[in-house]
Formats: sequence, C-alpha cells, structure tokens
Amino acid sequence: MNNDIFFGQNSFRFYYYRFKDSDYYPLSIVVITILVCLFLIFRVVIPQLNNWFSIQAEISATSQRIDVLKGNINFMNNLDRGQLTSDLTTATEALPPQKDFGSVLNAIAASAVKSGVSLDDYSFQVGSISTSSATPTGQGQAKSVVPSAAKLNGGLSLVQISVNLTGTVDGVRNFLSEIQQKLPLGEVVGLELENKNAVVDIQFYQKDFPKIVFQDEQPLSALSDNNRSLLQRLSGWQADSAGIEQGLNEQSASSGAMPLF
Amino acid sequence: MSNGINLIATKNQSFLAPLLTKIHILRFIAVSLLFVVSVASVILFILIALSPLPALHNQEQTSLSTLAAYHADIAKVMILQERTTSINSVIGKRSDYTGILDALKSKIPANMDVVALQISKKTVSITLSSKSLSDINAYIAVLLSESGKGKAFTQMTLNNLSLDPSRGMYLLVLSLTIA
Repeated sequence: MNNDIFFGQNSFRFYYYRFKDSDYYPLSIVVITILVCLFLIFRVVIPQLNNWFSIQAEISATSQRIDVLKGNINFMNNLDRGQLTSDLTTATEALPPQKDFGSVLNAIAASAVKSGVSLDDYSFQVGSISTSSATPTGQGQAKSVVPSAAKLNGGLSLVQISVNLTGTVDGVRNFLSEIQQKLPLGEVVGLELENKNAVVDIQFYQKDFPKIVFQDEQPLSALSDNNRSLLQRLSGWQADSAGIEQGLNEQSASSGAMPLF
Repeated sequence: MSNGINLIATKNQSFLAPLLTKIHILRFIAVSLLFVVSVASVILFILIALSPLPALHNQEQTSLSTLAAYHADIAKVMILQERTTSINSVIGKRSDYTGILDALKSKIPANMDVVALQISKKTVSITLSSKSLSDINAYIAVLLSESGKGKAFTQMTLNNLSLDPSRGMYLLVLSLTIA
C-alpha cells in the first residue's frame, strides 16, 4: 500500500532520517546556525544599529533646532516692538531705500540754518527718479544744488550734490560738521572755498532693502552694543533734524513765504 | 581484539570523532552568536521603539508654527541689522573734513587770512594772505611740524608765494596731502 500524501514523501522522509542519523547532522546544524547568525548580524543587526545611530544624530540635530527655535521665540517674546519700529524708522531715515531728495534738502537747509551760512537760491532737476542716474542741471542765480546718482559696492548707491554756500570759514566748517550729523547720511567729498563763497560736494547714501531670506533655524541675535549706540546717536541726529525742520516750517508759515520744501 | 570497553568492534567509527572538540567550539560559537543576535535585536528594537524622535518632531512643528506668527517682526529685525551694518560702514569711511579744517585753521596766525581753500579726497590746497612774511614763515613751520609719517598731513608743497602790490599783501599757496 502506498501511504504517500504527495509524490516522493517517503523518499524525503527517508533521506531526512538518513541524514539525521549521519555524522554530518550535528556539524551541519552548527554550521547552518552560524551562517544564519552571521546573515542576521550583517543584514539585520548592523543596519539596525546604524539606524539607531542615525536616529541619535537626528535627535541631536532636532534638539539643537528646537533650542534655536525656542531661543528665537523667546527673543521675539521679549522684543520691544515699539523700540524696534522706532529703530527701524531711524535706520531707514539714515539710509533710505530710495532717493529721498526731500530729506536731503531738509538736511542741507537745517545744517545751513544751524551753522549760520546762507544757501543761495537754487533749483535743480533730479532727472529720472526711476533710474539711478540724475541729470545735473543748475539753474537760476547760482548752481547751488546739483544732484547726480551713482552705484557703489555693497548695494549702496549715492546721490551727489554740490551746494553753494555763503559764509565765513567758521560757518562753512560748522556746516560740514552739521551735515555729517543729519539724516539721511551724507559725506562731504569736496570743498572749495573762496572769500565767502563755498561749494561743498556732498554725497548722500541710499540702499535698497535686501531680500530677506530667513531660515527658522537661524538664531536671531539682539543688536550689538556698538549698533545700539549707533542707533542712539542717529536718533539724536534725527531729533535734531526734525526740530530744525519744524522751526523752518514755522518760520515759513509766520512770514507768509512759500515753504522751502 | 578490541582495545575499548565495547566488545563489538566499531568498524564504522565516525570520521568526526577526532574533531569533536572543534565541533564543541563551533557549537559554542553558534550558541553565542544566537545569543548575541537575539539580545542585540531585542535591545535595538526597544531603543528604536522608545526613541524620543517623534515627540521631538512634534515639538519642532509646534515651535515652527509659533515662530511663524513673528515672521513680520523677524523681517524688521533682520532689516534693522542689515541697515545698521551698512550705516556703520558708511560712517566708518567718511572723511573728516571738519578735522582737516580745524587742523589748518587753528594754526593760522591772527594776521593771516584764508583767501581760498580747496579740499578733495586726498589733497588740500590753501591760499592765505598776510602782510607779514614772518607770519607766513611761522605758519609754514607749524604745518611742517604737522606733516610727516603718522601726522595729519603726509606731504606739504609750497606752490606759490607772491606779492600783491595793490593790496600790499603776500599770497601763499600751499598744497598738502591728507594722511
């Protein structure tokens, strides 16, 4: 009688038992166990160990990012928004993002008033406002303010103006001192003085707002002491300019004359 | 005759008999490997399963969403920092014309007048008038002492010294190189 459930069943059983009773059986079991263990070590345990190390590295990096984020949140929570807005206004007045001829002329007029020199009548053409160049054309009694614009390194651009002044050497010296303490920031780059007439070349700086690319993981830092004191200084100059500008306006209103700007 | 205790001769003696010790060692190695693999697997599974990484990721997402509310203010902070850096740079490289004027004017003797003055980026040209040559000499001496290495002016040149007979004045034209 054939008891095979499937073809060759008895043959497999036969070979199995023959193998089990053979001398190779204990040796093969040991060898197979070692091979399987080695396979598991190299294909499972070591990759999992690497995975664990990666997870540890990720945990460390994530913890650092969270620390930075918490620091940023804390910084923003403690930030005085009124002060920030005020500082930004001051900084933007000092270094405007676009040509601001009104402020430039205010600075010149305020410096002239404070230093006791007189500005001649003047008129000027600014050229195309949308481009960085301006057409310098003096007109009227004297070439008093002649602006021209140029681009500098570091994204800075400037408007250069020649101003005709009448005053003493001391007055001109005071004007130079005053104009450097007005907003927007100006720099005297040339001076010609003859008798009581002076021509002062001043360049006023401007800089476009940068494209802000903020990474959340980038730590925010408060302004340095140096920058804080700079802003305080600029704020003083700003107040000074505003006071003189107000005085000029009041004077113009009381005298019934056309306001200067 | 048999040498062993068994009287029946062992004709089919296993060929592994001499290697028995080595097989024991192999068996020990196999068991050890099994133990190491099983223990390492369990430990790694527990470590990975109990990792705080998902919780940290959640915390990070929460922080990011909190910080997103401040983006407008953060932009202001960054602009302010950029502006102050640029302003510092501009102020740092401005020429001190007031200082130059002070340096020139403070040394002028009482009887001398400034007729003309021209200051450009690196040079100063000054024209003075005086009735006295000794005043002119004194002023030149003072300026010479202010010129040189590490001083206000690096070089001084006497361009012209003339007499204006109509006014009875000497005219001195000097040019100086700013340090």
